[in-house]
Amino acid sequence: MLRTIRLHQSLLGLLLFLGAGNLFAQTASLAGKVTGEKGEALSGVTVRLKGTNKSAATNESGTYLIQGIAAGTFTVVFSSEQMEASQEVINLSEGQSLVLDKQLSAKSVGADPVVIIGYGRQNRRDVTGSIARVSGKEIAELPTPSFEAALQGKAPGVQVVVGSGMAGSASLIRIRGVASISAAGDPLYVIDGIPVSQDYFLNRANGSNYGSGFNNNPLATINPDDIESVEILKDAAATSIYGSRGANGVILITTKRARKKGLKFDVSTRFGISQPTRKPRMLNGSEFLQMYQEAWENDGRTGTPDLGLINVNMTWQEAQKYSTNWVDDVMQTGYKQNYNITAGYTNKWFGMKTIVTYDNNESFLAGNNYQRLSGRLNTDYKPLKGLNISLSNSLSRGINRRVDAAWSGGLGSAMSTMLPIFPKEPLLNSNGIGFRTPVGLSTIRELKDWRSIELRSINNLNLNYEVSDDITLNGSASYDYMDYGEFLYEPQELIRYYSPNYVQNGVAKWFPIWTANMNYYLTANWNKKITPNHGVNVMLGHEYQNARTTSKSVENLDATGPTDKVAIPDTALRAFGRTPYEWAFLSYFGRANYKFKNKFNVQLTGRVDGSSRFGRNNRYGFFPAAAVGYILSDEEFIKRHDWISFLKVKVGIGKSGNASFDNYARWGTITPSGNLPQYNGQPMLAPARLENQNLRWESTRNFDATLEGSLFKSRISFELTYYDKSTRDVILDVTVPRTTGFFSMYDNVGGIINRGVEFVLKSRNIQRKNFQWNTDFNIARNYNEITSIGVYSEDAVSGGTNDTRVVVGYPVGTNFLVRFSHIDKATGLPVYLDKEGKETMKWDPANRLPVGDVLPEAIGALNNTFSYKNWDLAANIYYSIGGDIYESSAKRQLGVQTDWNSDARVFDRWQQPGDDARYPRRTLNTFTYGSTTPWINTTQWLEDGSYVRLRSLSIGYRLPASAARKYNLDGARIAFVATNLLTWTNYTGLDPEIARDFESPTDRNMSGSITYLTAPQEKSYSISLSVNF
Amino acid sequence: MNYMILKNRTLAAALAVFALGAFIAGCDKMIDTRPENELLVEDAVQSSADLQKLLNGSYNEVANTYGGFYQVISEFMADNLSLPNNNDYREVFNHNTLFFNTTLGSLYGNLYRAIFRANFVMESFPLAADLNEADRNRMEGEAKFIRAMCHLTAVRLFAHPWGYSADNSQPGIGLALKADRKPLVRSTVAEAYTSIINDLKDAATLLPENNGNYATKYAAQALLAEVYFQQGAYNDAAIQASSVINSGLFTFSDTLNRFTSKGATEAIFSVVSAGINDNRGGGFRDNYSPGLPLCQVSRQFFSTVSSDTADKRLAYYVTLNKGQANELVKTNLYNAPLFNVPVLHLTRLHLIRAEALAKTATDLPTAIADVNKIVGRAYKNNNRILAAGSTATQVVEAARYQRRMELMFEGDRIHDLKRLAAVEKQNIIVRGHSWDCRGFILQFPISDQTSIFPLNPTGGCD
Repeated sequence: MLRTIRLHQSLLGLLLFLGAGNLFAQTASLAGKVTGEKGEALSGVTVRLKGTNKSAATNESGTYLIQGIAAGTFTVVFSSEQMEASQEVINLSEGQSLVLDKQLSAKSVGADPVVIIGYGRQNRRDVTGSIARVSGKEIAELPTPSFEAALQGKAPGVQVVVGSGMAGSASLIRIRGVASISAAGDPLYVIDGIPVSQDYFLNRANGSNYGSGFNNNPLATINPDDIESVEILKDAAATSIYGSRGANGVILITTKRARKKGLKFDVSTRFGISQPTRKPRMLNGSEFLQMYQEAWENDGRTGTPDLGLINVNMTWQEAQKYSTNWVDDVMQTGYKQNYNITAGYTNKWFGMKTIVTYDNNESFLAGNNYQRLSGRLNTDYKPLKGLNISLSNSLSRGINRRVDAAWSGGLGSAMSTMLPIFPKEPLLNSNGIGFRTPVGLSTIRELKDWRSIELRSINNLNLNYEVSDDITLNGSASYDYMDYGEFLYEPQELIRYYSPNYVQNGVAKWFPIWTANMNYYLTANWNKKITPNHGVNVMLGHEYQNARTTSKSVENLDATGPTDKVAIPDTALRAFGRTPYEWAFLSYFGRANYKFKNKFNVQLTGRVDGSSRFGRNNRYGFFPAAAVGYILSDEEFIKRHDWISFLKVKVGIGKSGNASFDNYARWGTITPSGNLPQYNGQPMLAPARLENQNLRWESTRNFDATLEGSLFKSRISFELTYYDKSTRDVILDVTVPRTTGFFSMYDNVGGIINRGVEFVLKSRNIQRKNFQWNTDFNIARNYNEITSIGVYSEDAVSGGTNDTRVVVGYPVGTNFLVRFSHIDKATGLPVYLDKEGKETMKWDPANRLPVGDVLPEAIGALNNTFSYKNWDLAANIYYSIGGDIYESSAKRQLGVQTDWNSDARVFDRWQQPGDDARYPRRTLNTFTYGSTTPWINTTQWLEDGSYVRLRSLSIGYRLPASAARKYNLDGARIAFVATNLLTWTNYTGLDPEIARDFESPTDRNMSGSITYLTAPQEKSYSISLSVNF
Repeated sequence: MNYMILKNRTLAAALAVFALGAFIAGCDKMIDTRPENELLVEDAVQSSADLQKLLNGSYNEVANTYGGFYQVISEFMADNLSLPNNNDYREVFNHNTLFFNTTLGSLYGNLYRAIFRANFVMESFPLAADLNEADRNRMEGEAKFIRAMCHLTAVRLFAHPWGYSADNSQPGIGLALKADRKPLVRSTVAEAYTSIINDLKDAATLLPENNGNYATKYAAQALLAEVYFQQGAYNDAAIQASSVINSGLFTFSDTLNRFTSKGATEAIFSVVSAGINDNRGGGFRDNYSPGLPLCQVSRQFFSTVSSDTADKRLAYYVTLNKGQANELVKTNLYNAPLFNVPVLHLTRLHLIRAEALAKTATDLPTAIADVNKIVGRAYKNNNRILAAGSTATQVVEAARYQRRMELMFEGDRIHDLKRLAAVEKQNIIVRGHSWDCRGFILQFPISDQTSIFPLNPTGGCD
């Protein structure tokens, strides 16, 4: 790249003066100013004369000076962390004072110089795998139920479905599709070197009335403000170093460490409010009665309708008196607050960063919030040359005040069984008999004390020793401890609503779980530049991880308060031990890189994993990968084209696995007599599980090809990727034929393919001194297909509630439903289609077929950022196109009139012959719609769930540097952020972004598109203020 | 120079530490975590006593099935009961069962869990060092008895009956003969019966005459008599029945009610209720005795029962809300808090032998005596006592009538109807549904559909 060398008039005098100072030495000098693309001064840029020891760094005004240069021809290299390196060749004659200004361009967007990879870091340039990086700033700035939700839209091919608006709710993250069925399909989360405890099914919600769903989110205690960066490893070249656990991608979380010299503080706070994206519009009292009467008459009945048919002990006249809006009864405007203090200090041999954050996140559901108080201390010591000791410690306490929702009550009841004809209180008729439900929703909420409290501490000690210039040893030991307890207290007053004669005090329950998770690894790294053109880097490592979970449940049936507040007398205590479990991994791994001329990289990785979960016949799995990266833009034939700034092609192939399934499925076991009843007065033993010593990891072969580059002086950068993942030995928790004597067992039987394209385009549309406009766009399409499920049928594996299935030739979790055709105009009855497509009035499950699109055809994001002087504005749009949603609860809201309320969609029902209605005639009779059961799954409740969502909109103002200095500040910023402000969709249900409360890992993989009274997402507005000094 | 040595030593030491770490870690034990609340098979099954407990686990499933569950489902297929107010049982009653019917899935699961456990016992013999030959034979006999009984129930309920086709090649059931995880192919009905008969023959040889509350040689023979009877192999049925009756170990009692807490003297094999907290007759008690029970007697059957007022068994029937729209008839036979359920008993064998001997016309006097034993106990007068010279047809007719009156809720009616249709070629129609229509057999649970195991056709009998 040719640059003009020119004398800078304004500096001339200064240089002449300096030159004069060196009068006696007849050497040359070099000086100049280094600026960025916008003309801003760049400090800290290293200016070096190649082949000499002469170098200098630019000062705050961007100028540099190198003196005492002997005359000659030199290559001047300008380099810094943030900017693309650049070089110039100059000729210096004796005594000359040359001025060389330089404009540097930022490294291509998102391409930070160094990225974190498994067990190390790598220059972005050398990376051969597919790794997306999200900065901590992007995560911390967005108010979300839990940090992982903020990854949405940040990286292509990473599908993030935010759980719901409930505080602390878990998001569903899928990296390049689902490659698992019964093994957890979530990526592996590694925080500062330890794969953390991330079991979503560690503890079912014991406090909900039905004992499932609403599980604890194991990531909710992680403080977003602690995060320096998140690296998402997507392909085998990047993940196979994690062996049997990398197949669904790896999310590496690196926490902040001190960087700046001296003592620095960041103080920030945020306030906000929370509302639902949409409120359910349920029928009011008179509307409900109107629908009921219509059903009553449609069924051929006459006279005053009897509400006894739906188990309501209420006369018609009584019912007409009330119209309660139960949705309003459970909703509120939630308030959010966040305070964060970060202090950093570094000197030559010591560095520390401490972060203290308090966050209180109230959701729009009354009584629901998540409070987190977290502290972190990350320290680095360099006691000896070459030795670096790093400690990372965090302690976080999360308190989730929980409320019932979906099928367990709360908003779910407001959308279903809490009829508008029930008064708020009391729910008793004149005879003291409950109308049906004896107590209102807000009363339950106020009386029931239901919290989960989690204490989480993630700690790491890392020793890094540079034995020689070439060899580095690294040892790391981590401990991730989780103390999670769910506390439930139902006072006597609440219990008496259900059991009026209850004499004891309240019932208190405590469900504690402790998980101790430790690992250590050792790596040895040899890095050698053999000749100027050939470099090698070889790393060998060994890792061991062990995690143990113990738990119990404690009940106090005569309690005056929750167990964490009122001690339990021994007489009232009932404690049940629960089975502890433990798992372990033992691994050996290695990585070799060969670099040719800084433009051609070859990387080989391999890992051998042994796990306690693998059967005796498959103790160790080997996971190799090979990848090449080739920087085409360093070749002459590309260099010729000025408009191409950078061009790189990467191709990788490899194998990785998934081993997150039942810990003990390989063992043949017997339930001991003590845990079984007797027969004939004699003890018995019963086989609990059949041995399967062949059980092993799922194995995914992964091919990835990427073209990345930047054009027009890096104004536009892009990345285009094709991948093809083929998984075999897929673990199915297969519902086995009952003839085996069991209901289900784990087996490696299935095959799944995931194929897709990802595209990222980043454009710096306008780059003026005072105004910048950047656009980032990404889009990903994933094709998913089950290729085999052994001899088993579609029904062998099901999502929680009969809705989704595994069907060969279709994606994981395909809806398997009887097809609904239309509402018959003459009779108002639903018309179904049989397998051949013939119309029938009978619903027969034998006519089920795979239907709909369970997975979206495209997902992605469009992010625009504008900055004008000290103002900035960012609008992030997330979209998901072409996926269907199965609204499982609609069959009860809009089908046969049972004990549920309907929503306003029901007005579009058939009323008289000739009506072209969307929903069938109202009826109270189970059999009217041609089935033997009242609630039947058909495609009538399957809808297009495409949406485009303004995920976040933020406006910020940064205090000008001059003003900041006046107050002795390094910087200050105020910002307004709104999330989920607008949604465009044709979906008629509540919210098209759905990740319902899953029942099992299988359900989590299979029922992503099912909703059942699921709470909508949150719409939030917040203001944040941060100050650095 | 010194510096280099120091450096090399440091390097060597560091590498040694690294290698040591790797070596220590190379131990398989580190990844050998074991389940803590369950026993590994090799730890749990070491002695003959352990095998006995495993076998008792199989009996437990037998009890869960034959303590009324199987009998109730069977009766809803036939014509002794009226339309139940329960969706799953309604499907059975309407002869249109869906593969999502969880009640049926659970019955079917119980049957095969009992079979699995029986197979598991037999395959675990090598684990018990102290197992003697007598115990081994006994346990094998019991296991095979259980296996045969459960297979028989499955093939009777889920497949078209013996005689449905000339060679009985109609789809049968899965024959679970090993305790492994392999999905089964669907055998033919002929194959199922062959397997059942072989198991029972083995059991009759292996089992002792006395075995407490567990299966004996005579239990196996009594069941074998039922199998032959179902096949219309009346000669064989009579031989097996005679062997049991003539053993003298079982006493025909004058007490009409066989469902007693002490166990009937005529019982050959029973589901045992060990105590008030371990009542195994709940399938009868809970479905027949509540105020408004699931199982209500059909009008047609009750009019047959009540047509002979001399029948002492009429006392078992209660009419509620007489003359009103909600009139119902139920039985009070199972109102006791605790009773054993006799599954195989002398009454059945006498009725089998009577009909079998009459059909083969080999020994009419014994057949007449058998019928009269039942009749003599059941009636206030002697009107129905068969005369010494009664014809075979009269004996058959009387035996069949008494079968229905005597075994009214014991699950036999549907199998009798099917035998009369498929073997005796009578035209049997229940609630407008011909005996050979699609829905006249139960549907398997959807879990059992595999590429090698097709389910029954859907759509009921319409």
